[in-house]
Amino acid sequence: MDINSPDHEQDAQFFARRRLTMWPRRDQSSALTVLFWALRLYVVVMLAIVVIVVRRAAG
Amino acid sequence: MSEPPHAVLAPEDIQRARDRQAIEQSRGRGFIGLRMLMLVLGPGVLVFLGENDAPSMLSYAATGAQFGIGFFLPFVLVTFAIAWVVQEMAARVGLATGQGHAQLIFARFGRFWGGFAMLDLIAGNFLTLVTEFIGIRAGLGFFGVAPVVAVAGTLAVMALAISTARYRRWEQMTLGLALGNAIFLPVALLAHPSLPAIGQALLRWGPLPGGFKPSSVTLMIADIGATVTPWMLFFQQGAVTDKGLTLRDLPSVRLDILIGSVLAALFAMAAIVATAPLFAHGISAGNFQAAQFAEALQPYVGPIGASLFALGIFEAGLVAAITIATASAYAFGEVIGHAHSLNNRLRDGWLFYGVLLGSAVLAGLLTLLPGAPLEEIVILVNVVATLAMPPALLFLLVMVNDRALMGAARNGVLGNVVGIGVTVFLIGCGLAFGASVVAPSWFN
Repeated sequence: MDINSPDHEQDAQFFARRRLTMWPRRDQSSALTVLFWALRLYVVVMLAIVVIVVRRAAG
Repeated sequence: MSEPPHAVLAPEDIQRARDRQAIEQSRGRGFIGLRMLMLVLGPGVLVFLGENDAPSMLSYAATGAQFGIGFFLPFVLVTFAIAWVVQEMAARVGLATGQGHAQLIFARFGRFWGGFAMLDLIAGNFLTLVTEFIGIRAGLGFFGVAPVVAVAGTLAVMALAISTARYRRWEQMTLGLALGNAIFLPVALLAHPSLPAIGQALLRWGPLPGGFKPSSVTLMIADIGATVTPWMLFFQQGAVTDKGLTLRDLPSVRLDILIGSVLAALFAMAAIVATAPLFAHGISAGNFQAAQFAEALQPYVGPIGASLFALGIFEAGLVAAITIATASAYAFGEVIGHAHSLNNRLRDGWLFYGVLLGSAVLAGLLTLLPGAPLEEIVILVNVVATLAMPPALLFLLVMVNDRALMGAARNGVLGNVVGIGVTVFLIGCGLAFGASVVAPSWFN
């Protein structure tokens, strides 16, 4: 395998460009924001329940 | 999107280009593309065998011991089918963009939501890493190995794996270790299982012995968390990116994920079958830890079977410690913009390698603290993983439908129906778990 071939150089450039590409922030709909908040609340409540289970097991 | 016209090459780009050439040269050569598949194979198998970790194998063992095989063998198959769908989407995002999961979440959703995703990942990963070291300690403890030697030995293996500064060598070494998960197959055989009973369990989904009780709901959630967890998304996307795979490799990557899920399902079912004699003989195994399972199994699988079981728990912990610490390091490097590739030289990627090894050192040291009440969290770690999964899936679903990121590779209708269905199912499981704790009378 020739790592100095043009193909290799092109491939390496391709990977470097992909790695350094900056994606802009997407427009987030309010429905999606509500969904994110709802799932965040879900995680917090569920973790509180896990803490209850751990305390019961320890006690 | 801002793409640099002519980027400065880093060593990782050159290594990826080299791997790319090897894949392209093998395309269409050899028996039914087997040579190319062998080059692409890795991230999918590793992520699934990595997730068959110490707490997962203990969850499966507890499942077999408490409920036998009737309900849980087909249940585990379903959970692995779910995991295939999820991992395929994560891999596809990586193939299309060439960027890691955390990096894209921060870019597309901003620091606020990205911070939450990272918080879930880092907390979950660290908790899981601790339980891997508990499994490693317990597995080797069965052979009389001192805890400090077990922890130090594991850290030495991790350091050896990354010392090559080459993704492919790291992957080959970790894959070699991961295939040791097959050790649960001989343990299952030594338990003299009834093949017709296994066949019947798989073909006719039996009822849950004793019905849905809080303890059975917890084990069900733990078994789901043993197959789908947030770190798997970050690792899958990071690994296909680090390996230099592109959308041209999608069919092979799908096969890689399928092989990983089938192998992991087989080994998980072997753990259930191996401990089913405890259920058949009415031995209560609700609070068993690794070494206790091995000791309790000895009358049914013999000393060799018990030793293999203990060795299997150690191996599961070791491979998971490597892959989970790597997932944390990928995410950390992506977010802070530091070099984050196993193709980087140690001095270029010192922060990446530092997070990888540092998180493992910290988790290992925690398990050496005398009197630390860590045993209780082993099964619960998988429950926490299941509970943290819905927000992670929402990020994934939005990204895999993002036209700008994915182009023609974005999700179709079927992919979305399945993806949304899995998310709703996991939320339902979490709510059922919550109800079983807050209102246990509903389940009796």
